[in-house]
Amino acid sequence: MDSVTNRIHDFKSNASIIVKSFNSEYKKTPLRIKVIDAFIVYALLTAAIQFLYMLCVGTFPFNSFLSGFFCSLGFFVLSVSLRMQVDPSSTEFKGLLPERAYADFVFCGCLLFLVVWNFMG
Amino acid sequence: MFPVLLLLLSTAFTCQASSQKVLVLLDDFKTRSTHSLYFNDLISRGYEISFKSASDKKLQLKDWDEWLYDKIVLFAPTATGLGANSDHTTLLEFIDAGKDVLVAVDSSASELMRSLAADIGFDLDARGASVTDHVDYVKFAMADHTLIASEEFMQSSAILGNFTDSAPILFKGAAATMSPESTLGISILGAPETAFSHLPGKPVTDNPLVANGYASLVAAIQARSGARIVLAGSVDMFSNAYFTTAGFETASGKRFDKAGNRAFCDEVTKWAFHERGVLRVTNVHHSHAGEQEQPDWYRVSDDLEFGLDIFELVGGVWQPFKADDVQVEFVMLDPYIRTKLQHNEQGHFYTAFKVPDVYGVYKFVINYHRAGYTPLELAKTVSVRPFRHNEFERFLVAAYPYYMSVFSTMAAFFVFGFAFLYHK
Amino acid sequence: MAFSLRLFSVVKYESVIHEFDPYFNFRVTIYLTKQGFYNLWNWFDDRTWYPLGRVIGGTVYPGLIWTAGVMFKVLHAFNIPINVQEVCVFTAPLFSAFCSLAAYLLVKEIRGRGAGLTAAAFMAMVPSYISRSVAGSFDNEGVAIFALVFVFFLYVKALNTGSLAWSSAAALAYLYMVASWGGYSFIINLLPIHCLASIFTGRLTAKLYIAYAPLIILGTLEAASIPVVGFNAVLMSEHFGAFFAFGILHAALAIRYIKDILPVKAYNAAKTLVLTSGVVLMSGILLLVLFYVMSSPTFGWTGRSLSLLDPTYASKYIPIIASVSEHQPPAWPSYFTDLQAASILMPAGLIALFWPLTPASLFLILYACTAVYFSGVMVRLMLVLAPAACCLAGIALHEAIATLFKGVHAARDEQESKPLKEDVKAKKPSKPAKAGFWSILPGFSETGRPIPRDAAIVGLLGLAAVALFYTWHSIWVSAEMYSAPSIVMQTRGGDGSIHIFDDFREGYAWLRYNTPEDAIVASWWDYGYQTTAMANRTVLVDNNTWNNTHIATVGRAMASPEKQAWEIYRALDVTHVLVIFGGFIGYPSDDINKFLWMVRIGGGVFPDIKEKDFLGEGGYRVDTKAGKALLDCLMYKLSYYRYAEASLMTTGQLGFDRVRNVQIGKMDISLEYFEEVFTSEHWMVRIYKVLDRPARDGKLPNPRSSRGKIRRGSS
Repeated sequence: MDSVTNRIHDFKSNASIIVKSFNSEYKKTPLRIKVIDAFIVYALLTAAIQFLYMLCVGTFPFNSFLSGFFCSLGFFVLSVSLRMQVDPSSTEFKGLLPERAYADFVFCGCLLFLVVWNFMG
Repeated sequence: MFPVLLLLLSTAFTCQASSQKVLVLLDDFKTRSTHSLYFNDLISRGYEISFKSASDKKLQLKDWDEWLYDKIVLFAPTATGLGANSDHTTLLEFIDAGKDVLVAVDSSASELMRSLAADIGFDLDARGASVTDHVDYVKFAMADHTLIASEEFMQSSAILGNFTDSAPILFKGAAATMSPESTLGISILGAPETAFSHLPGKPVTDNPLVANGYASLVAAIQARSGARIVLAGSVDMFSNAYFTTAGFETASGKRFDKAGNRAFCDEVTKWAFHERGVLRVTNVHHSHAGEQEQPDWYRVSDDLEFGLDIFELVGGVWQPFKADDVQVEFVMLDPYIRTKLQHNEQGHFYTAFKVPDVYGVYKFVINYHRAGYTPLELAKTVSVRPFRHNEFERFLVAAYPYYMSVFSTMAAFFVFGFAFLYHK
Repeated sequence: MAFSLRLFSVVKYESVIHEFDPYFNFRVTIYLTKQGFYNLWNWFDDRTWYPLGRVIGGTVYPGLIWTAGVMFKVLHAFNIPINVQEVCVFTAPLFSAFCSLAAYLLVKEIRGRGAGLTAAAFMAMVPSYISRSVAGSFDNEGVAIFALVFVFFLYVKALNTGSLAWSSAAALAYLYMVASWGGYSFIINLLPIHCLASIFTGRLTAKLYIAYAPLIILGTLEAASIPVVGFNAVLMSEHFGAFFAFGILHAALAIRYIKDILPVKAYNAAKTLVLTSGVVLMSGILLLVLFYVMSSPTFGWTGRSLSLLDPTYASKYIPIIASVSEHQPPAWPSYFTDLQAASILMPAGLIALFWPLTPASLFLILYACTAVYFSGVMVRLMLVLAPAACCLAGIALHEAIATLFKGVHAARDEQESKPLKEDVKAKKPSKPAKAGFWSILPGFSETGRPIPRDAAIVGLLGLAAVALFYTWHSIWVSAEMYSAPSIVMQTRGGDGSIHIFDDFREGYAWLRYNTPEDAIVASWWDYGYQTTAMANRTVLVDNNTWNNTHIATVGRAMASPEKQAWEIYRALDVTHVLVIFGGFIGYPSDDINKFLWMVRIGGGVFPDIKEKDFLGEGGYRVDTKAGKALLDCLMYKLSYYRYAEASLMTTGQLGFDRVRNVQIGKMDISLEYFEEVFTSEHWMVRIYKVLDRPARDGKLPNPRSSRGKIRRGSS
């Protein structure tokens, strides 16, 4: 009993430490990245909501669900990719201009929406 | 112009109907006089009769590809050959060409007659055997009890018309059995319960060919070529003597004022010669519900209408057929729909139903087999195709959250673009 | 080169379409050019699979047909009047040329230009690919292999550049691949394997993510919009691997991100937390997915995929898959004929790829390994192996040549004391080949010394010989083996003269002009496509074997005695029966030899057909010791009807079958319910008419009368 409460306490303190340090570290990221992060979270949220909705209502318009869900997921993936490309702390994409990265992103986004529209109806 | 044409047509039709050529094949020209009542009845119904001897070497049924006769009456039980031929293949060809034959034999039927019977699916009992009834024979001078009176005739107005005469039919001759596998045979006249078939005068050593229930005295088939063939086990039953029997008594003590032979034989002949029980189908039609045009295909779950006209030949005139048991099936491998057709008393049969939710090539099938009537077998193919891609329901209410999410994501995409590009 | 090599068949025969499936594709293409795209999509074909019909738009991989249709339209837009058939005949060779280009690009991306060139050269001539892309072979695989290699190229490109544009281009190419061939599931499984392998070998990079994640998302959506794949893209177990790897990739990235961002201490604490919660979460999701799969209607793997994982699966459970020769494990010699030199050079190339091991080369290694395995299971997938083998062989050959040239030049340098100028030149095209794979051999790797000049020259000559031999072999193969359209047969007589057997076309033409428009032809399913395309008649079953029961019904009819078979055919409204008989000229793949499959497939659905009834003494045979059921069955009768006399003329022996090399077991065959209406010149195609019901039920057995006869006989 004791050990369990201890564990939970440990866990709590650990978690608080993590959250705190994460917060403090995260403040260092540039604003631009933060904007992207906001959209990433948004995309994830919509995806999760749709999934829950599907669980409640059932899978009937399955193609609509798929297109909606994958649309959010795709947007999420693309944003993550973009974030990694423009993240100044990363070393992999030194020579890449953010504008070029964004152009790629737009291209992919258009493609994604095209496919989604095609599939939704 | 038009009425003239009609007139021509109608005269052509009546001519054709009236001048049907009947060939009567005999063993012996004496029959011509002993059976004259029967032949006169035929002539009075408009048939043109020619008498020939079955063994006449000059006998010809066919001139090149053209049949010389429309019907054949075969009253030649002992004939061993037909004309110059020693077998009956020409006769079978005649049947397969859709032409009617009435055969009467007796207990001395020749091998030729037996194989003819076998080829239409009947088996005549052995040579010499005749139908005997020791319990209920007709009291005439004959001692061997082979003259019997049967009332076991088939209850079918298609074949016997309004032959409701309760008089029994006098019969003296051979019985035939029908194979249980025969799908075409019908027994028009059965034997009384106490009758059996055996060689007269010989002791019965084991089970004889039981007559009643198995044996037919008068049997018939409707060949798939359309031909009708009647096989009667007795030539005598068509004779003047039997036609005019004034009154008789059976062994069991029943008395009858007259025999029913004349009416019975005439009715059977009418049926055999396609004067009765003939059906005709016209105007088979199917369409979308409420439309007239006949499409090549339907979509699954469409509503459709199906109809056809059936007419019956009554006394030489086509009249609307009335029956409540005509069915149509909508078949793809198995019948998906089987429904009765309604009719409007004018001969038009119709129904409406919904195409099943399975695509494929379907057939409308009418399979109407009633004893005595021309069998109606027709099938009409039509394809049933699935929904086209743009025929499904769109913009479902249940899917609105998904549409919303797609729109919101796209909006986010544009907002993001602004935020990303203008935020330095 | 690749193009011209494949034109042998046109030269030797004529511009005809080969085999079975291409005829169907050809027919669909004609429909497309006439009716347009949307009508094709919604085409419900009532000429095949009578009476079920087939929804062509929803069951066909449309890539090939689109391609041919677009080519046709483009050519006509330029006012080049060309027949659809010509377009179809030349599509495959054209795409094999594209495929060589794609192979060049792929290998260039992995190893540099020189290796790319040699790989492309191999690709152009690899016999197993030729087999599917000779002119006239208008089949899905022809374009699909190009699409396959091209997807791989774009994926590797995206992997190398880390650009979203390349990644989405890969997704587009993947769309084309999905539209072309069912083999796309190979890609969707190979990519996750590569992704996982990269993660676990510590090669997780943002580039990998950019190459992989968008491809999966976009690719899945695209695949789902191809009607034939549809929801299977999400529901079938074959695709779960991709999503699984997708999840793992995200988890790995998240961990790395947290690791980067958090101080060490917090990271350690977080690690335990994330690990425990992560495991719980993952198992939860896994359970959910499992549950979902269980409840979904398309649970489980398709038969073909299962037979890939377990080679014995098909033969055990689904005879129809096993009956196709393409689906059987290949024999060893076929590796050699199909890949030839490439099969020898392949292992060398595989080893060479490990130095240096980049993510791209890791990909090629994985590709080659899985392809080898799959081709070992199914002959058909030899095709997937072919590009891998070619790339590897190309790399190996290039490495070898580079090293040997280095040897030659180095030796000259030693003599002439010239600095490494030429050496550098020789090395130039092979940038990554720093320590060629020869160096792993102990003799060379320790010293790092170049190979002696003489040995190098001998080696070069040897390699040249190998290359020449390979070329010669490929040309021979393409000319002799794979150009045969199998619809026109060619044999050499004893005196070297060439006989052409054109019986198939003769038979189909007869059907076309001598049977009523709505005739329904029953044959074994192999000939279904050809009958619909060439004879334009409705068939019961065809090569798209989607309904096992229906095929089993046809198999059952063939295996039944005449009367029962006739009843089955009547029930299906069949008017004509077509059988292929090779006994007259010795054509081995005829219906008698396929017959056991009919029995097996028929027996799989209708248990009253038992294979052992058809086997005679010591197995399957057609002579007097054959199984009783075989001698009575319809197929036997239709094949050998009237054959006894005919063979007396040609072989001098009554009823001698030249395929089985035996005298047949039953000479006097009479048919009661079928009527022979056509037999082609060499007896290969025999067509029978299903007779109507007889007008009378003549001569029926009558139990009572027979009893009566016995009675009278005894008394």
